[in-house]
Amino acid sequence: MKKIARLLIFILFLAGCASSKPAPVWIASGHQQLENFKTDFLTGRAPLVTELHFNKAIEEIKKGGDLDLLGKAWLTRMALQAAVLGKIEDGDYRLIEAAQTVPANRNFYLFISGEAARVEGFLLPEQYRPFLAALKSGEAGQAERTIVAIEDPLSRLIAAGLAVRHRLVTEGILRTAVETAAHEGWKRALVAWLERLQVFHEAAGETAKAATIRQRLDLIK
Amino acid sequence: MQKIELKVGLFVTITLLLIMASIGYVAYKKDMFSKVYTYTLSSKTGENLTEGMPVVFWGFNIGRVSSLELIDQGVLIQIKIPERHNRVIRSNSKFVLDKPLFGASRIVVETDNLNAPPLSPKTVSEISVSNDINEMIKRALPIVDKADRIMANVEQVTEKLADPGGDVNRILKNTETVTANLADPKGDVNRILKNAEALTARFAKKESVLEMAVGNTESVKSVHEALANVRDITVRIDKILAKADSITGKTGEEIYGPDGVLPLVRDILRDLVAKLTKIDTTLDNINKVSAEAVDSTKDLKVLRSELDAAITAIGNLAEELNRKIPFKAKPEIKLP
Repeated sequence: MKKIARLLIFILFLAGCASSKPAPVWIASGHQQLENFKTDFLTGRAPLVTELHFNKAIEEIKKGGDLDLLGKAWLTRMALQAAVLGKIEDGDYRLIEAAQTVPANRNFYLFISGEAARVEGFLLPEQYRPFLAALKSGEAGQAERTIVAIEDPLSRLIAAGLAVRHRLVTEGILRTAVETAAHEGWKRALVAWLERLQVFHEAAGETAKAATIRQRLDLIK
Repeated sequence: MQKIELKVGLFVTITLLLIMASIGYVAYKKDMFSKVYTYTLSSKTGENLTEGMPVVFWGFNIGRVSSLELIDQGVLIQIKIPERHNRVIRSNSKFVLDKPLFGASRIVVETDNLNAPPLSPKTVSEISVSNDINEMIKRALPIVDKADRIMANVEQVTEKLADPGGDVNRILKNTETVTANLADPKGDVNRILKNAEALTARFAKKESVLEMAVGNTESVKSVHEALANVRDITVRIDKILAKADSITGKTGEEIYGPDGVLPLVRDILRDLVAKLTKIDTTLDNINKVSAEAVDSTKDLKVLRSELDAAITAIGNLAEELNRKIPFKAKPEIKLP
């Protein structure tokens, strides 16, 4: 029994040593730049600075030559565009995919680009799986519930953006997105979602609600 | 026979006289014959009080406790002070029972004004207590509080370092903003370069375009000093990284402690940002003046490249530090 305990402690010690090894410079740096890009993009900093971070992230990842991570960086960019209801641009993703297809990345690309029917749930990041089912079913109420249930704020916003692209629009989805962006201080996203909510109310003939949102927009823009 | 008896009697008498004189002298020296004043003190407790205990003034023994008497309100202490020391016992004298950390207790007399009227023997003065251990604890308490606050600050700093929206990360972002400004075709530096193209030949003989642009050597000097400082900071961070390399995986104290790496790095980065801001301001000034200056752009290009290099180096080093010191989870690039 003592021998087993000692062996266990030794293994844990080795595991501890292994985990303390720092990540390679290019991954750490690429990750940091990508995080900066995300924040800057969502908060609406000057495009020059935002793009600078993205370009640096790409440069860092290219140092390692990992096409999987490079594809993920471009997919992150596309997902952010969906999160702020912007135009989704492939960038270099298609070229990267042509060189090396990574199933998970390919699947996420289909998810982001609106081809939900072709998306495999098991290849998708876990947080989106219930939402994907709602998306495929085309039920706005279910989509709203699954979006609200997503814990990560960025993923929640991405899912909301995709729901809108699939014309699954409810006031609940729009308000969830607005609250998420406001809570995180993502001004660019907040403005985009408030504008979308205003359009929603105008289309529903709810002019008072639309006017309130217009006032809020005028004050924060 | 009678002669011998006389001699013995004389010897015994002289010996006795000498012995008595010696005893008398010692008694005299011991103030046996001088007048002794007795004062009465009171204390709420007899703890640490003993008969024969010394009474001290300015570190000298000036008397002793002659008796202790238990009464309803506490303890009465009688002290005896010889006449020659009595001048220090005045009406304004305070009596303190001193309990040093080491050694025996004593009563310390504190007299601010030796010209004050003498203390009346009928007055009963209360003894106050000075306890070195308690005093030390009292004095240590604010220090402990301070240390506690420092530790809280260190903790806060560590949190900020780990926080993507924290000070250090904001500093890094600001640094990158400055770099972006430099890289921007419409940014300050590039505007300076464009303006420099319109410089006139009348300043052509001047030694430095930068000097011409700012109009005085002091400003140029300040720019170069700032650049030199940035280089110094780079070297300092480099050294810290080397240290961080060696201590990664050791105790947190060396990293997070008051003398650890992280607080130091935070200070350096703050210093850096202050200096970069200074450089930026100087560049702004150059920009304002250069609209009237001469044609060569060489020095300004050098300045720009130096700034770019310095800032990029600092950014990279800071990121490397961020990566090496284990205050964050291992970075991982994954789908959002």
